[in-house]
Amino acid sequence: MTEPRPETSPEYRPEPQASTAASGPSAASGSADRRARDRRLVLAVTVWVPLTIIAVGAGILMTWLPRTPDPMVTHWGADGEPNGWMSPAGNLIAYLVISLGVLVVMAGAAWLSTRVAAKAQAELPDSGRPDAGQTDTEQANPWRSARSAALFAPAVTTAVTIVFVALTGVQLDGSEPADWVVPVIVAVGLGLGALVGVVTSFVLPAPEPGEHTSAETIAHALRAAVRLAPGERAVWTAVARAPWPVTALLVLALLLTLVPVALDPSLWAFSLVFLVVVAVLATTTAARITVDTTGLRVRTLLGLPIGRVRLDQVVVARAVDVRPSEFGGWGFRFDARGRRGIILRGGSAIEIERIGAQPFVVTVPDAENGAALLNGLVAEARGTN
Amino acid sequence: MIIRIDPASGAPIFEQLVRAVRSEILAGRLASGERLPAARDLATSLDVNPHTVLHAYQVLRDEGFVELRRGRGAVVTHSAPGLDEVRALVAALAASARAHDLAADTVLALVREEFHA
Repeated sequence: MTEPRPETSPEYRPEPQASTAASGPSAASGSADRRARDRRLVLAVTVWVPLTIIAVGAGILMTWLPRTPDPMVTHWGADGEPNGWMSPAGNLIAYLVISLGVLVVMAGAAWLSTRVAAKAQAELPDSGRPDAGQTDTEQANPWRSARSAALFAPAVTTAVTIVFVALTGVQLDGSEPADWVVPVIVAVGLGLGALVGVVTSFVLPAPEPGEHTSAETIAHALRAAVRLAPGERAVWTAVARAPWPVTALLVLALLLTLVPVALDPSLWAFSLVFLVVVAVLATTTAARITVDTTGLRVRTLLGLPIGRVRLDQVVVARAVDVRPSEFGGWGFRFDARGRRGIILRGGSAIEIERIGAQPFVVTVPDAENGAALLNGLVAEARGTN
Repeated sequence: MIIRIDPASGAPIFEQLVRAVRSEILAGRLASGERLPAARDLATSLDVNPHTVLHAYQVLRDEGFVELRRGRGAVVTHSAPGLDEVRALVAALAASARAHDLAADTVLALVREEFHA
């Protein structure tokens, strides 16, 4: 045993640096991996998780069928007295129609935002953008734009399932629930649904980071400012509209809100909640954006104010191009840099740097003129005060 | 669209409003079917009397540029009838003026003269 053991000789020491370098994938394959993983996540959240929840809920309701009273109570009045009945099979069918309907709308919305983001990306090559920085060298990932649409899918499915299963469960073998049970079940269902929504928001891929503001683009924006003569007054206004697929989806969703109440009048509460949610969404499909001496205001076409920046909060405004994918979808948005946005479509937008707040972005046609007037009004206000 | 009002310019304010909206429509920046801002809102933004804005909208309606609908406000219409024909004649007029080295102001004065004759 005089021969030295190989393990102890210095030449055979493992080299930690070489091994970590070999295990790290190249940047390109890392991006593809992430995209595939995001795709699986979005599919899981919008399709597989809700389907599993629905399967479990339907399975429970089915195994309970023999023990469920016929007719069973499906609606209670404000005083807690039952005033709506249905057969157990009807209850099961109502559950399936509502939960699967929600699944189709949510998955459709997620799929649509992914498609629109991919299309917008194809039309907006990174090289054509003014200040494509480090963050833009990697291709944007359209699956991340499904975020907002996917967020609600498991949450709504959970709430619907809990309410259906629990309200059936308390009636098994002919037992009658106490007055306080029904509202508690509905509240618990909504609460757990909200909790699932929060968990989903952590699981879903984060929105894309946006481009960086450079000093040169700000200087350019200020040079283009509208110069007003002393005493001259000016206003700029434009209407921003969501692309038609978004509007079509909202119309479909509005019709679907009526399905529960059409199936069973006792489900009016569901219809009402969905109707309110969809109606609030619908108000943001078109908005009028106005710039005047008070600053910038965003109002829905019905006149409801949904955003404003006072003139004295404005540092500088500039016209930018945004993709809904940067903000993770349509509506009221935050992006990875903390910009607040009212995003109705892709394309031109006014971005306002604010004093003591995150930048504010609103998509609007003719953004160049709007930003130019806002900068001119700011210059005038600062100059005369 | 940008609307600029200069009270010092001498032209009546409603006339300035009409000119601003009309040129936006003629330039194609305001498409047919688009709604103009509510008269009350525009008046607030520009610090003028709402009746002045309504007066301007009525003049635009009389010229065939907008339709006034109760509850929907002023909506941009396709275009004033015969506008395309006149637009073609104006293009020819401008070409002729350039060919004869006539200044734009001279041509405009001639046009005004023709209307007031």
